[in-house]
Amino acid sequence: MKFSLRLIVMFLILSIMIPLARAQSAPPHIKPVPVAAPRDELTALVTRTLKAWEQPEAAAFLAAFADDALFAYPGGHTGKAGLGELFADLHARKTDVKIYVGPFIVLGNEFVVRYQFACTDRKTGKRQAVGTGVRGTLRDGLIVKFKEYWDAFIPEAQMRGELPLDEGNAELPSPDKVMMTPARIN
Amino acid sequence: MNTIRRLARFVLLAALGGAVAATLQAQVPPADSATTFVNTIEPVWFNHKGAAIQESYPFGRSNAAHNATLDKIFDFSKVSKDWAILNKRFLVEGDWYVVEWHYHATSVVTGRKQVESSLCLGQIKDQKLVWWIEYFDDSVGILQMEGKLPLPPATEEPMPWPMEAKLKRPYRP
Repeated sequence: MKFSLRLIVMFLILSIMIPLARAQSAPPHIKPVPVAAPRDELTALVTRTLKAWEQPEAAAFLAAFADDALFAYPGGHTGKAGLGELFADLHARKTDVKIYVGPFIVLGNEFVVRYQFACTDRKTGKRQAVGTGVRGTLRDGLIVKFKEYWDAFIPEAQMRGELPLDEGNAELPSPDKVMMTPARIN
Repeated sequence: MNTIRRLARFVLLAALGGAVAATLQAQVPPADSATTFVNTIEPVWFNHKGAAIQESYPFGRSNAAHNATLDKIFDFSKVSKDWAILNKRFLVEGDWYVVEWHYHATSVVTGRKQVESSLCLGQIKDQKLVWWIEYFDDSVGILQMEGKLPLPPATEEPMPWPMEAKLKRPYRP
């Protein structure tokens, strides 16, 4: 009986010591896992960056992007170097920009956010409000990838007065009360 | 000595019980887990819509009754063929999941192909979809079928606009 008791005690000691020994002997050259930004910090940064569109100064918007960031949208893509020009070009053509930010889905440094981008065309005075889905990635607290998905037909139809704005609806790609028809399915 | 023996036995039994409980817990999939959905029935997600499904696309809203009506009045196979959804990239949190993909289709009339990227979101309840939302730019597929935009390589990460496209459009025309 003493023998079995010793065995149990040894087992308990070993079960504590072995993981400690393993942890101490881990190869030092293994890269540390990238630290994920806490969820609330990530969502605050992305929300702040999106809301920066409401002001014509680009500084707050650009500050959120890493030097090697990729910004992609229906129409093209750019790096950080071209992002200031893209921001200025939008504000030269549009005014009264309003951003409505919807819910996030977050896993580590990866995120998806739904939002609505509303603005008025300076030339025509016509307004658009387009549901947008973003998939993005952060690294060291900065955005390195920001891919926007939205449909180019929606602002065109809104500016022609053929589609309602549904401004403020941040959760859907198209106006909420419009039911789908087969007309555009391809 | 008896006390020590009892204590040792208790510690062993507790450890064993904890391990069994953890295993059992891991085997029971939470009904609202999008991870379980993605790891099991996602490849045929379209067969797992709940009765109260709500859907939203760039073309507008839909639900189960509206889908049934559309099925009666519209034959999708007369418009396009050779559909495939490839290159899926997932992200999951709680009862929501996201998938980006390449949608492949060929026009029945012209024989021209499109490979359009989409960002889709699904919410899961009782292992059924209760929300299905798709974001994509329909003009990408149309411009591809008109030969104005290239088809992205199969290995290219889904992108809102093909990376190699020469045609550009201003941000939010």
